[in-house]
Amino acid sequence: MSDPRSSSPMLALDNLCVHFPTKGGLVRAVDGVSLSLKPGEIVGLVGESGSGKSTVGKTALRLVDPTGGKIAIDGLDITDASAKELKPVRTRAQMIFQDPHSSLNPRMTIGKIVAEPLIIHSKMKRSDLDKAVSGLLDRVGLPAQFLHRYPHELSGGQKQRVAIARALSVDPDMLILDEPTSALDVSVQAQILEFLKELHAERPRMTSLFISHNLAVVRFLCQRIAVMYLGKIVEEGPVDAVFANPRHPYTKALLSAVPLPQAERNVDRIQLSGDLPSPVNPPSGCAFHPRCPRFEAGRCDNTFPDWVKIGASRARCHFARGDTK
Amino acid sequence: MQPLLSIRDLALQFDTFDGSYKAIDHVSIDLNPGEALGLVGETGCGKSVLTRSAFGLVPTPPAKITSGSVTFEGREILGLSAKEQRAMRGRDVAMIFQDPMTFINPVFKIGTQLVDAIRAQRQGRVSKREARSIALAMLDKVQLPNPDRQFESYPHQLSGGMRQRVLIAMALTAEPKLLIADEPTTALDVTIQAQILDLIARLVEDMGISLIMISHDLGVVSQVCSRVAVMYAGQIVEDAPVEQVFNNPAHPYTKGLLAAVPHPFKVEDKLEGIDGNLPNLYEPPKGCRFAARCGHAQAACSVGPIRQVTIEKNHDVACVLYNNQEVHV
Repeated sequence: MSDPRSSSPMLALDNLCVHFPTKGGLVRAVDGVSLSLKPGEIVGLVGESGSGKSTVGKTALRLVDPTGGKIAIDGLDITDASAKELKPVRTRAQMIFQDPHSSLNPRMTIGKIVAEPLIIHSKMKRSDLDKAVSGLLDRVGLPAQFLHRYPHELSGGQKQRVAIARALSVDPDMLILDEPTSALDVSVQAQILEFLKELHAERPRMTSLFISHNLAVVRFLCQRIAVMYLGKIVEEGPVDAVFANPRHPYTKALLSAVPLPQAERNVDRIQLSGDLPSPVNPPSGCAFHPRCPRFEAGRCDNTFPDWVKIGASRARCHFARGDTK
Repeated sequence: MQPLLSIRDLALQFDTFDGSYKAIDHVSIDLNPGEALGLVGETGCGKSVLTRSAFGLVPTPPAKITSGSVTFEGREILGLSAKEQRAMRGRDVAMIFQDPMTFINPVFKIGTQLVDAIRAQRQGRVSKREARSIALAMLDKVQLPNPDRQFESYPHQLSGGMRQRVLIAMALTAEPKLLIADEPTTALDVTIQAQILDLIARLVEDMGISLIMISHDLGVVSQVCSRVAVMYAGQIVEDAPVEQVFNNPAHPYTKGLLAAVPHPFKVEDKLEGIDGNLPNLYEPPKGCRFAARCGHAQAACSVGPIRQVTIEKNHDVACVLYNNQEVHV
């Protein structure tokens, strides 16, 4: 295991591409995504439906195979790892999905569900196993009676806690959380977010990629944010900087569209016209140009801008350095 | 002023093999003409059942309305025959829902469905050609791009936001007096959600339609509504102008909801969840239904039904903490 102070990233995606051939043409779901997570970081990956954020999360663990680029977990290149080589990686990185109802086997008791990864990955004795499972349930705030219950007997929030307990069973260093609170009520979402925050506080090496469409949740939980649009990351930086001073027009529009939990209506909302374009036939140049309020003919529709670095954040826009309003 | 819709003491239960599930517990609420009311609450609080049952959209059985009355423009509508209810829906009251795909028929073209809806609402008194021009005008009003082309499209060819626009067009062609929007933007992305919320706010204002917007998201409601009613476990616990709900919430549940929602432009160290679960509504608690999860619970909470008190103009709350703060306005 590497030194926690070392600078080698826990997750490194380098020019990741996931292209799906379909009847209608090649769908470029993920198209050249580079992202690196330092040990201990919580990074939010946001974007709208179809932006490719979930595909990035799944590909990072090789649940979907990339068609290009490199994936490394804690320095270990897993881009072409075989299923056998991937098995030990599963104890390092785990995934939690949006809908806990469909990610828990309805025919297994909660005890069996949480024990399964331990049975696969460790040679624990039966008595140790029971103790470990009770400890995990306790850790996620569920009473020991739940061991013998089935998923349908639990509420959505409780099921999500079971999914987290299962992920934590192998003591991973990295979690990929794909919209883990989107199916939950706000009062329950708050509990799960608090729990994740605590978990990170007590384990300094724990690293999370938090995939979400909810910017407020990302603001609360994450240190860094990456914004995706049509298979590409268009802006990346520390949450404070990006929320206070978004550089990419898409990030600006996204932030201004969030309905604020306050009496005053949003002012200066930037209205985007139209929908996300098709990833089969993305617009030329910068894929955001047909919806962009800053569009400049001849420039934006010709070339996709390179990264423009401003302070600790960076954005892919010709005007990233321009007016910051 | 006579309220457009007046629900008085409405109680509804679902009769199941496990007993009677008391989904709505003696709820009273009025909606004035032109008002935009937000009905807010978490899963299972009864916000959808309340509005749907008022217009005969909850099948009986299994549901049973055990008490109360619902009047629309002063006329009792609870006892209406199925035929009378049907005539009223679409003409006086229209609804839009969370998932437009479920409410648009996938095997017919958008245009055909709009024309059929328009002719049904007007009981066949318009020709197909007239209905077509009404439909196209309405699609233009909801800002559907290329209405002529979309008229010939099937629902699956449209994006979620476009489908919701079609559903809104369908709902508003008859110029109803009341629009009920049940989580109309929950399935949409934020940028599309912003477009649809603006559209709804503008249309109800331009057309003078009253609105009930059902949502679990206080932020969404504050974009469109001027008044908010918060529901918990089949009861309305607080009813106030939107500014009061955010700036001066009274009920501990409302406060809890607000504390649980992160704010995108504020740095917050801690979010407060609400511990515990909904009470068992087969045998609901005698007193306050929130008491078991409430930090301010006291003996008085479990004695009997909680009285709704007015603590300032247009601000009602059902909580024993405010019994001494009642004002008469």
